[in-house]
Amino acid sequence: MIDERAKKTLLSVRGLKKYFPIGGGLVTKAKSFVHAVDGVTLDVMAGETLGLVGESGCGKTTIGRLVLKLLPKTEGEIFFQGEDIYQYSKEQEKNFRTKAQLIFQDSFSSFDSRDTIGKIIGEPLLVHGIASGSELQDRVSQLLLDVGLKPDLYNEYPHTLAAGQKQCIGIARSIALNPDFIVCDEPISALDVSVRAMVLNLLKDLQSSKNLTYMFISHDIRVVRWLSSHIAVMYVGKLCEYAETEEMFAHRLHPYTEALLSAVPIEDPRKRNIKREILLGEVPSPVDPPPGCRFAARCKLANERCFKEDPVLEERKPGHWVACWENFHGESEIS
Amino acid sequence: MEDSKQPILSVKNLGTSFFLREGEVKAVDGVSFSLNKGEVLALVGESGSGKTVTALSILRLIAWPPGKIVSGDVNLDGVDVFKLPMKEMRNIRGKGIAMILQEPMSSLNPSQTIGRQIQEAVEINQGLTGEAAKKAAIDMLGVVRIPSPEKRYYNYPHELSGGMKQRIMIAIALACRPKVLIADEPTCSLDVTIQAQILKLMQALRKEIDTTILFITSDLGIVAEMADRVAMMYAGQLIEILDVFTLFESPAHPYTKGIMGSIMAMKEGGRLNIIEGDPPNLLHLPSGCHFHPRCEFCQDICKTQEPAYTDLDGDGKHWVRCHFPIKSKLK
Repeated sequence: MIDERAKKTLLSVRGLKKYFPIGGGLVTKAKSFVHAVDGVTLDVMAGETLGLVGESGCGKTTIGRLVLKLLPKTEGEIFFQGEDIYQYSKEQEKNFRTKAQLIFQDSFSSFDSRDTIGKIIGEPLLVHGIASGSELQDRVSQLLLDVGLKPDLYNEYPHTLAAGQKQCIGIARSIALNPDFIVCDEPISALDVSVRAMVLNLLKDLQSSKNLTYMFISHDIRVVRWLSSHIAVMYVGKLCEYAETEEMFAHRLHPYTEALLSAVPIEDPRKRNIKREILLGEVPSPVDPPPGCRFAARCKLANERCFKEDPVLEERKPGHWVACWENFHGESEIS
Repeated sequence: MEDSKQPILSVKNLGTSFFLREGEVKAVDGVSFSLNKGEVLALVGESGSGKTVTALSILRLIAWPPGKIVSGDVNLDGVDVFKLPMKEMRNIRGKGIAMILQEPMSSLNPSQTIGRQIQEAVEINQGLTGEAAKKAAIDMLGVVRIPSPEKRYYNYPHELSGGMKQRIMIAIALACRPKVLIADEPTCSLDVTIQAQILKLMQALRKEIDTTILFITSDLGIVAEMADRVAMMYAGQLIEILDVFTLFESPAHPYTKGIMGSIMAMKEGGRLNIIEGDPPNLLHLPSGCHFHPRCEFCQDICKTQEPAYTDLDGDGKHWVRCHFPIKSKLK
């Protein structure tokens, strides 16, 4: 059963940091920094889906952009298929741009509205000199079929399509170059419930037919659970916990994970009165955060050490990593 | 569509259209429901299904042009709201029906302290003045669990987070002592842990002040946690009304069933069922049943004839607008 390919590390992130300066200019120096990503280490295995969850401003999207080299890092290393993406030659860089792709939340706004659907999907193939002319047309038609659309949409414009189909065009474009790795940044948040199912099924189908690896960024934990094999929980730029999806839901070892997972409304009216952890307070600012655990101010277990020392990410159980000084075990009932 | 209890709010055959250059958009089309005292009715549907327009129509807040209430009656505790002169609507808005809007950021006045804004509602609706009104406003901050309310009274909206601002909106709405509270997706711009706080607050307040709530949402998890009964909307029409337990066990309309089936499948990790196609364009609604082009059980009659409301079990509790309602349970 164990597929050797599936056990290979595709993406490896070590101590990744990204600080955005506030103020400052050509002459003056920035006085403070937004610590958007502050020392994140994680691995994504080939063929798996890593779900990145956390509340707005926790740095999920920034990580997605960093691993695609769409934003310069501040510190740390990113290895893709074993190679440091910051040490790439020009040739390697170009190859990396075909192998790693992004699906946006609102694909439609990333298209040129004056382009036909055929041009939008075919553009990456043309730019990389992979296909042109009638071959290009064939490739695009096949891609349209791959995402469940009719090939005769080739000469249509995207504004004529419904929201779900537009997202499918975005997906077709991102798989055009046969990538290995796709960052899906909130790909279904803008879609209605009845349309989401179609896009989610498509993402799952493409993953197995094209052997894709996903980094799936979403604030909707129910969707992340359905799609992801592994989950990484982030809080204000830091990784709190990382484990296989069902292991994470069964054994929460970080108090924030517990609060986050039990805050998700349970889709069962018979369970509305069950015991759950309601987190007090608000997410702190990522601007020049104080030392210690970022979660300490809202954490029931926090002691003196938590406010002084940053907890280290450690492997508490095989494959289950957590950054917390306390020995916490979640007890809330989670659907 | 009546329960045996006397409803505090009843809406009958409500129709609201927007008259655009391209034609008439029937945003709300023949919607009828009633709310009993102390209950929470969830109004559920996708974007553009007419949930918010229904709420705004009840308050007669549809701007002409292009919008117009074209039919219907709204009865609030014996008062025929649509027959009142516009001047008297001020007594209905706030004191009769208060509304919490989706985006607290754009609904608060940025140039006034939040305390002042709550106090205004207290002064107008409870008839208090001066120190008494201020004290009532500070009390309201406490009611919505704002820490150190005496200090927060002097804060401006920009000094508060999204969750705090939504609490202020709730405080303003409750300061009116409304007979009915309409909450229009009150948590949709908030993070999940903050959403949990607001929902918990609303649950607690519901018990403390015995409010009747019309809760507009598209999240069925929130429906499961908050609602007693559920009204499903599709393309401007109410397609099903049922209690929340029945919704999660045996919904009868194919659309409701499709959505619920997808949610159950997601819980179990299986392949999600798909409702083919997209919600219809309200300018070009399909003939007959508006759902027929996407319905897997569609027959000829569905294409030509609009279905009537049917009382499914004959006890007035489960109404569905479908020629062929599904009787089986969800898997």
